[in-house]
Amino acid sequence: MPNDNLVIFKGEVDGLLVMLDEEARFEDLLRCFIKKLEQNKGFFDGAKIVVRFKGRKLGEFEKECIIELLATQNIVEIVFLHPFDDEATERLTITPKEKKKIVKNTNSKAAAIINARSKDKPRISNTYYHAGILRSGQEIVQDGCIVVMGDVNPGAVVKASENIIILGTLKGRAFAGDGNDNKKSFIISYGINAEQIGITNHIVNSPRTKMCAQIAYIDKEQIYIKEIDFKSLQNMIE
Amino acid sequence: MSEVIVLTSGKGGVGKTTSTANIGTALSMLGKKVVLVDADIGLRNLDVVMGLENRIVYDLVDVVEARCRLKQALIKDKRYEGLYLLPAAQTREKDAVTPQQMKKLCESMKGDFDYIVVDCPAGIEQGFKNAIAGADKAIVVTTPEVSAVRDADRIIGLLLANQIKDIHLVINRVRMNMVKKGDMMAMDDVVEILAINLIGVVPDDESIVITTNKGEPAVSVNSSAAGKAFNNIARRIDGQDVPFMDLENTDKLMDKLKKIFGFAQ
Repeated sequence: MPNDNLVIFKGEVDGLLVMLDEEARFEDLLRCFIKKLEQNKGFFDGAKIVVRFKGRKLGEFEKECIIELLATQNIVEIVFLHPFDDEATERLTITPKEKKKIVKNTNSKAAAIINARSKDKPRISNTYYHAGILRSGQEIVQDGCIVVMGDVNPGAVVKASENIIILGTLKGRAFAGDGNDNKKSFIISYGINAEQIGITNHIVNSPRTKMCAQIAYIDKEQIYIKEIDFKSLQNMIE
Repeated sequence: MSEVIVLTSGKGGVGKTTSTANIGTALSMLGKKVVLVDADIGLRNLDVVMGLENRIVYDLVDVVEARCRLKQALIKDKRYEGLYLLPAAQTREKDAVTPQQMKKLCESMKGDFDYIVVDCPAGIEQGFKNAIAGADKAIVVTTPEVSAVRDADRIIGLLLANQIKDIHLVINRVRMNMVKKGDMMAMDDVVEILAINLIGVVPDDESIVITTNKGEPAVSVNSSAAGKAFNNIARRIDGQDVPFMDLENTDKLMDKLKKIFGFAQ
């Protein structure tokens, strides 16, 4: 059981100061940081804050770990991160051999913690960009998102394991969340007059709709096509 | 500066062969040296439309397989100065020629002719691949029907994938009275879906059937509306700025066509 006081949150004039323990192992530090964040979830509650880290000399990998952790957590919105304090501390004097051992040890465990957290909410995905009209007989299949900068004509097929965004009219077929059960997948297009649209394992014929920015999403096993406005976007984020 | 133009459509029966015969003839009437190449091996009929079927001795496959010289296979149309036909073989199939051979053949004719107009068979198989192999420019022929437009869309995709970027559109067999009633796709709709440069609109015309059966291209008959449209297309291919024909004497339509033309720029 790691010590709870490895990470200390301190209020500052312009934001939050996070004091990191100098001696503790990095993965304990991370675990403690996450725990603290979750404990204070009610306090932060979607607040936008500026963060500064202090108290420990961080290696490049450790810095990346912290940045990734901040990017994948969904408790508090970070609007600005101060450069990491590179104040030299006594711990710097460890021999290269010893340092290597520590880094190697911490790398795998810290990475595991990061992975465990980011698994339930992936924020990074592969996106395929197609410039121009997607014509009849052409097909894009992508493990990730697809952005088509042009129309999707009748007879063309777009399949993505995540979201599809079409900067044009959808007149062909589009399948978002294809091959998985990601209920958050959506299709955005300027006018959805598709032959078929599918989200996860649901397939529907779309009605002829008017030409405006529209979104197709799934809610309670039912596909909805709606004009994009503030309310529908709010629903989507939830 | 000679150019290889392929006329293609994907769907059959939209008027590729008729358009090839008429556009080719119209180009020759503009004083150009033109050769019409029938790439529809096994189902040749460009010779019939041109009224030259009884003069065929050698064909395209004979040239490719070196059984004769190119000059021997070319049929000179005596009615028009500088118009030649290279007929397809009727007793062979599409795979008798490879795209490489076709490309070589087109290249070999470039020195002698201003325009090499290739009539492409329907479909997207071997015959299509052969026909487009040597092309610098493509003219996609379609009718205002959903099925034909769908196939044209597919063909445009394949042409782009084969590095043919210079693609123009001919909308054939337009019935203005039906378009007006909303029973036929309007030109705007077709152009909106296909999103390529519109080079001509040909009205549905009974005289085409008559001239085709007689074996003389409609462009030679001045009174025919379709013939005029084909003449205009030829002049546009030649680089002249020809306004779109007034298919019906209404201002509204004229505005529409102007809009299309503006879009095409």
